Amino acid sequence: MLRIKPGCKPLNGKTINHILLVDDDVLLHKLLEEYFNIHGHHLYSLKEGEGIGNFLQQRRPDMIILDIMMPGKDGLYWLGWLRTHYPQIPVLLLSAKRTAHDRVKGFELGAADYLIKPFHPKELLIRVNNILHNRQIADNKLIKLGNYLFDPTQEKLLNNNTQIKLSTLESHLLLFFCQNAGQTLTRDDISYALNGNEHHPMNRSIDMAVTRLRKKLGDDKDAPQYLHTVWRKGYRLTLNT
Amino acid sequence: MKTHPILNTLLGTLGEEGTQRFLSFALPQIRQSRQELLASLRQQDWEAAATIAHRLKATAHLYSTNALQDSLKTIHNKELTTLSHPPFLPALEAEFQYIEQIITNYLNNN
Repeated sequence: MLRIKPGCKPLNGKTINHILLVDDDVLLHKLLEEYFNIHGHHLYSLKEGEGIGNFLQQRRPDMIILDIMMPGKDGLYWLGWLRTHYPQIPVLLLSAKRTAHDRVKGFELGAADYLIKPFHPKELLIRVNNILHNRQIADNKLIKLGNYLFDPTQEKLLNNNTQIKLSTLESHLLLFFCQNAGQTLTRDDISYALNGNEHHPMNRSIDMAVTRLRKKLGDDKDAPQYLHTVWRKGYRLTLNT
Repeated sequence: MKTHPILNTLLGTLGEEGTQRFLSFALPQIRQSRQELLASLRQQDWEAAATIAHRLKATAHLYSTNALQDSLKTIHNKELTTLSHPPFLPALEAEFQYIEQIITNYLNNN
């Protein structure tokens, strides 16, 4: 059963991340299974690389943690195999080897990151979260907006592990602004994009939604960082503040 | 009963319930590893001993003493002068048993 620590929200919009750990150390498996469960990740375990192919035919994890020193073929062999057959799955390497040569070899083969044993589980968790976070941005699921990440699918803003829920109107409006960042958008432009008709001067819904978005983005109305009012025209979004 | 300080890092990492589940799983594994490690050292099978020590090192820093971690490092590095020194084996066995007793006490009291 998944246990999530009260007050601790997963980093991204998904409820659970699925991670495959390939390592012959059963104590490490149990330790990380317990720890990752607390932090909203589900850990699958394999004790040797030979089972990776079968596993991936049945499940597709969000990432793989792979030990280098294992019985049979080593982790570097399996990293090369994964890069050939499943290049979209990021791999974090674990190893007791401390030399720069070993780390460089791992990175050359396509590892997303490298962690030296022994380590504190928190260090691994931070690295895993970073990889998953970067992957979501690379997959274009999230849009970077200053210090925030905007997830249009989940209708959320993410900031330092905090999630800010957006209404559907706010999310559609913000997505339209992001798609046209840097351009001044009139109320008519916005109304056509959102409703398919021109803006009615008495209709304040766009202005009210902009006000709510500014509040959720922590924007100051008089000196906004993100959503600027263009006098007598409309609004303009600045993405990278 | 107060928890032994060597378990504080683990408790801070996994919480009470997670620590209990982990240690319940770990205790028989640690005992088995101790037996296999001592047998390998007695047979002077340094390679097998180094492999077991290497595996234990990955988690030992969360539930064991500095003395045990140093011994595991010595075994992993195959420092034969130290490993061949007669008091090394009894001291290693005693250190393992000390830790196993701390874990047993924790599980019995929680």
